[in-house]
Amino acid sequence: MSVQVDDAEILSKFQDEKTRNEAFNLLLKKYQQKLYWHIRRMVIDHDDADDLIQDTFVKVWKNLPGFRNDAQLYTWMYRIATNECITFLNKKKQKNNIPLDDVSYELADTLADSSYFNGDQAQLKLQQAILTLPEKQRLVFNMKYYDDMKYEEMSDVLGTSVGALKASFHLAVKKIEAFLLSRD
Amino acid sequence: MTSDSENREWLNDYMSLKQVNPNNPFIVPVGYFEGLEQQIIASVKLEELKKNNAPAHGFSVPKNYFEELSDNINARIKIEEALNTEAPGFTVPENYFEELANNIQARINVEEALDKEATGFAIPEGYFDNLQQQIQSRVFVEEALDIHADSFAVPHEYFNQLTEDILNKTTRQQESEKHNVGVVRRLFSSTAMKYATAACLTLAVGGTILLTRNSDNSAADQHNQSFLHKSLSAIPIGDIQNYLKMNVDATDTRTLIDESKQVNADNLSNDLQDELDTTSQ
Repeated sequence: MSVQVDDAEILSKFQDEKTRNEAFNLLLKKYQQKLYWHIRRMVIDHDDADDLIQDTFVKVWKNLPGFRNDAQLYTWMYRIATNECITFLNKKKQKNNIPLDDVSYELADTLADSSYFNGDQAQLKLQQAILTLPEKQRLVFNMKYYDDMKYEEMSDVLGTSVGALKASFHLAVKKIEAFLLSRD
Repeated sequence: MTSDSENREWLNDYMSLKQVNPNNPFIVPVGYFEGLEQQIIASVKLEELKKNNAPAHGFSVPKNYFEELSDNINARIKIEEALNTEAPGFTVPENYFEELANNIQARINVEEALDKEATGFAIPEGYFDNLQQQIQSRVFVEEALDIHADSFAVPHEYFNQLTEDILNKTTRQQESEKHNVGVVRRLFSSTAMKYATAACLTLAVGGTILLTRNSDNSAADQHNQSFLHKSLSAIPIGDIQNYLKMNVDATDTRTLIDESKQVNADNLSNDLQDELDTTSQ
């Protein structure tokens, strides 16, 4: 089991050109899976998630020299990944000329057909319930339910107030509960 | 994934959700994360190269390559289309036969539908009910336009006069300048001159032909006009042939030819009559 390196140390190494590549490798090892799963839960399809995780880290590489330490490094990268997901879903919507809700139906179909989903029926139903949520609520729910993020961290990522996030989350949970109960 | 119990207390209020297995149901291909790091690093390096060496990335192209590229591509496409269309025999569009049955059926349906409606011309529903109103609206609009047009009125017959004024100041002025320079007239009508010339030439040529014809008679014509021909033409040919058979042989031919040159044409008839009388005795 590899030892997780402190974010400050990674940033410090990154500033030095000689150790920049090493720092980036450390960053990858530490955060690539967390960010991947965050993206994957949003876009469902593995191949799409693969593209987006690479895009995310390329952007991290390009913009890390300008990182001002005014937020946590992980929160900053998480925001980049979230924006990549939102951009991707918007492009999908525009490409197919369909409303965002129908993108969710498309994602649900992808989920049903996916060979990279081995959850039980209850988990499948939960994913389908999540896909009925608006995009922002889906993000909030995933960040809270799967990543156990604090509201303050979510506020940094999404640029929304803590109060609004709490309200959004509880609304999301109610909808999911109703979905799960209605399909029993 | 470790769960923070304090953060998940809210699940107690949602039993259906709590019953769902919280483990991650998504999976990835085998070895995915092991290779992801390398993949990301490679992507980053490519981005760096793109940033540093854009746009040529060290490669060069011939002069004017990109300016001519689209023309070259279009030419190539046309050539390949031409080559593809040289197929031996008739071709049909892709999936033609697969769709043919449907197309025919659709066409039949359309024509059957048209046949049902074919009893007369159709008009939209409520057409005549709205027609009067539409006409009135149109009239109002056009009257309104006419009223507005008056705000930009012009004098009576303005545009007709305008054309004349412009012409007077332009082309007609140029023409009058031309007239002041002077008129060049031909001395002779060109048509009459042509006919006169043709007549003179004809006379000259005809006269020349006639004059040269008289002096240019052929040997046959000369003989026909000779005294000998005129004298002998009265005697039947049979008599001449019998005389020659009886009195002339091959050896006499040369003598006769020589002597014929010495014939006195003026006294020839008397000499011939004497000769005939002598030989017939």
